[in-house]
Formats: sequence, structure tokens, C-alpha cells
Amino acid sequence: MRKTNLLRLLLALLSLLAVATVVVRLNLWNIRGVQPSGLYLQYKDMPGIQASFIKDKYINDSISIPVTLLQAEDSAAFFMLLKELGKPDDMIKYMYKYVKDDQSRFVKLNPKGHPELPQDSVRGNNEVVATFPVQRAVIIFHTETEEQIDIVMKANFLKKIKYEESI
Amino acid sequence: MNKNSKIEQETDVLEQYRALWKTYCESLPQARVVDCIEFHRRYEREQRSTQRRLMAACLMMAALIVVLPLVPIHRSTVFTNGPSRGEVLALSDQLIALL
Repeated sequence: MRKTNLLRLLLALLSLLAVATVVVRLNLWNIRGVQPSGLYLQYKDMPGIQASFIKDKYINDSISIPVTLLQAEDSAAFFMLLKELGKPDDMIKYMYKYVKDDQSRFVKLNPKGHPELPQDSVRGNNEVVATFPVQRAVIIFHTETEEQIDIVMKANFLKKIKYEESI
Repeated sequence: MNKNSKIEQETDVLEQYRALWKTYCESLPQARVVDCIEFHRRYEREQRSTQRRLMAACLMMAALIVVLPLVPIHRSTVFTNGPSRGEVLALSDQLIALL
């Protein structure tokens, strides 16, 4: 009887431990205290902008990179967002002029944490900023190294090559 | 009272319980003695079976706790000010595919 009760108690404790392991593993309720990017914090309360931060976005199933995603609800908010991200008026006009379809995108390198500044001369000091005019969205890949920049830039290119080779 | 003397006392209580049970069974009329002993045996068998099941469950749970951290799980932590987690992941997948 006593042994049975002890085993029941042990089982309850182990179950609790298993649940705790799952919670920590999946980081439910942000139990590991992951901090979002500065850009997310900057835009999360801005009206007209849907801001998101993904801690570990897998690129091409090979590497995970933190990503900030900013999407404007309308053209005016998108224009304002591009201006805040340091895109000059003529570049925004150019962007719209040459947008052909919903696959158009403009990919640039900007200094880490400063998408409004021009590219840093040391390539590894930059992160990848991709603008999608039709979707009114901007993705900032918070890359740490030059290798990560290469992986982001080549991710889809390599995928297409693989696809074309397979058909 | 230290732990050992407590365990000894509990063992004594258990022995006393067994002796009492035996006495009780033997005090019954002959026709019911068999039922009583059988009932007691069955009770102990069920206890052992319950203990085995609990032990197996404990072992499985322990194995789960050991294996869980080794299983590769790709679950991103997402912060968002509006859209759902699913929408954010879907949009990011869609946009990354356009890169």
C-alpha cells in the first residue's frame, strides 16, 4: 500500500517533469525569456503596421535566423514605413514603377539594427533587408555573419536550381 | 525519531496487520476461510500488479524525459502585435520563397 502510494507520487512528479520539459522545449509562454528585436519593439505600437518577430526562422532547412517582419495595412502606411526605413522618395517611386507582379522584391544589405543607413563597408556588419511592394511588407533578416548573409541571399536561388535540376 | 526507526515501526505495523489478517481468516467458519485467504491473495496480487503498472509508467515517463530534449523540434518563438502566429509564419514562408 505504502509502496503503491510512493509509486503514484513518483509518477505524478515524473509527469510534472515531462510537462515542464515540453514547456521549456517548445518555449511555451516564452519561458526562456526570448527578447524580440529592437525594430519589432519600435514598430509594434505603430498604427497601420503589423509587426512580428520570429526568433528562429529556418532558411532552407539549414540555418535559423531571427527575422523581423513589418507589414503595412495600406499604401500610405507602407510609404511611411519605407520613408522611416530610410528609402529615398525617388527609390520608392522607382520601386513602384518597376513592380511587375507579386513576385517583385528588392533585397539590400544595411547595417545591423539600422535599416535606414547605407550598407556598411564590412559585409559581415550588415543584415539583409528585403522589401516586397505588392505585399506591402519588409523582412529584416538579423544575420550575424557573412556566411548567414550568403545563405539568405542564395536560399531561394539554390532551391530553384535544385527544382530545375529535378525536372 | 530517526528514519530507520520509523521504517522499522512501519514494518512492525505491517507484520502485525498480516498476523491479524491471518488470525481473522482462521477465526472464520471453515467454509469462509478459503474465501478470505483467496480474497487476501487476490488483494495482494492486485497490489503487485498495480505496482508493476505504476513502475512501468514511471520508467516510460523517465525515458520520455531523457528522449524529449534529444528530439529535434523546430518551433520558432513568435512575437506579434496583431496577426496570429500561423499567419505570421505563413506570410514569412511566402515572402522568403520569393527571395
